[in-house]
Amino acid sequence: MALNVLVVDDSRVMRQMILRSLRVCGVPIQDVYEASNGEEGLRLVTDNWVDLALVDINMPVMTGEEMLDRLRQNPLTSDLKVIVVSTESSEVRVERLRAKGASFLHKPFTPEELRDVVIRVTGVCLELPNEDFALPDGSPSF
Amino acid sequence: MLPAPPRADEGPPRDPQTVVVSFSGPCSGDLSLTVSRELMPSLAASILGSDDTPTESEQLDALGEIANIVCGNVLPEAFAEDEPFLLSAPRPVTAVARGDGGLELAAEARLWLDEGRADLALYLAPGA
Repeated sequence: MALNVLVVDDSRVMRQMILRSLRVCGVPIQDVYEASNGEEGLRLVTDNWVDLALVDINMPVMTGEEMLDRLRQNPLTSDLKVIVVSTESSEVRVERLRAKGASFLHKPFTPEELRDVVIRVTGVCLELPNEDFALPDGSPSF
Repeated sequence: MLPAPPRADEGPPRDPQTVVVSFSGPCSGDLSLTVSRELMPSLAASILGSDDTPTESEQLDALGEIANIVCGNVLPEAFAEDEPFLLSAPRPVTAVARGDGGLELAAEARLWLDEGRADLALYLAPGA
């Protein structure tokens, strides 16, 4: 089963990095949606079928945590699988996000760490890694 | 792009570009990251994994994201606080304005890379 993925981050470079990491690891992806804040993300979730949302916390207009709250309040989106991808290091805040049904991935992350969280959250089976997306030597992890 | 040994004879980044992330919470201040502009294309390309030359917008975005990640990881380590910090979006500035807004320089770090040098500075509000 290929996933319809939504990536919500105010950094376009980080959105591309997340999508590239998913592809490097062979996560099967069908449709990709990108949003630069929580409000745009909510609109995309409402208008499209999304299997997995990867969401930053600190964003303008609407934060990732507020987006998560709104998703959980809507019966149509309350079960959406959400992975928060953030530099957040406060255990208090991370636990609060987990209590709202989100998984958490700390930046910087390696593609393998992202893959493991995605598998755990979605149960998706991996495709063979695509060599076209192989990481060059010396690439930083995010 | 790889880490390199310190080069004592190397001065500050030439033709510098600086991005600043402001933070508030247990304490408030700014974290700045400065690199030479000639370093920015390869920095962004290595993050994006692309052979194409990143646009100027992508280069600034990549630099800001690095500053954001450094800031988000340094603050809890530096202050051993579990209360969340709130980080602003990274913003480009033309020059590091030390002491702006009454902030005081609290720490500096330098990272040598094979293609240039990156300078980090942490500014805190007085009394932090």
